[in-house]
Amino acid sequence: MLAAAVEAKREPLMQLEAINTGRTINEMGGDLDDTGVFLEYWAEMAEKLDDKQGEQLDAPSGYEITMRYDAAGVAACVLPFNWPLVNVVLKLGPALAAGCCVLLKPSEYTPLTTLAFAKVVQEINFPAGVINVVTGLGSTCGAGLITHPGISVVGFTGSVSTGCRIARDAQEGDHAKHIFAEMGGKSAAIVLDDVGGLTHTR
Amino acid sequence: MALPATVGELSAALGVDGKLTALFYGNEFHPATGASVGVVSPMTGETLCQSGGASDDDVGAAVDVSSPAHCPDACIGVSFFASF
Repeated sequence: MLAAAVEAKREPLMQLEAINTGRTINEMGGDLDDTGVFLEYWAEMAEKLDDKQGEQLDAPSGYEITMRYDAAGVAACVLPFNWPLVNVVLKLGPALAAGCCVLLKPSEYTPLTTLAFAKVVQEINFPAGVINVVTGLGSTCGAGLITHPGISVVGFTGSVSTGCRIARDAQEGDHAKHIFAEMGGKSAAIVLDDVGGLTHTR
Repeated sequence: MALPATVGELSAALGVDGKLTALFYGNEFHPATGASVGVVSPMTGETLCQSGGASDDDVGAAVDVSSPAHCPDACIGVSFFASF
């Protein structure tokens, strides 16, 4: 349902993502494909997780061990600038599949398609409060979000320095949290002198 | 493939006209109360639009609406998020 609603806005989402990220419009078709595929994948994973609920494990004679999976709590998802919409889904999918409500915090550089995604969520009447978006700088919005005692899980993709700071700061005040940090991946790009018209990349 | 339209045209097409400066929680858009942040085109350096700066109060309000929506009792996965 969510995947189909996103797909229905494919063209304007592709164009908005291209404008905001500076990536080519031709790449965006692949991004929108990924977005739909991952939403459906995680919906399927949600059902598989349901199937595991109440599983009986090997136990000593006279004992019984039952696996019970509880949702961890509200998940804060701090997202990078490079694949904004795909990363929304990569973070949100597993969190929802595990029963966690999410607060998405897109990069301050690329918030536009995340807000457009929020509009889709609103239009299909997704349960209120399950998918939420807050925007702003990392130093204000991001810091306030990850340190909030109501947050139980923090998922992050971005730089090593920010990831380490999040892992350290999120548990301020002894509020224990699950931290997932995907860090690094900065690739060098060499721009030669004879390339014109790229003043903003230097 | 048509050339990209403007942010204004696309936000109208996507139904987010006037909402790019907003925050989204509790299935509603809310104005941000912190300082707004310019969204800059990496291609041209021009400011495309403003986005909302969430204050601590805004973040708190968003956490507050997500917490009660949170599954209360062991109902994981798709059984809870039926519309997922």
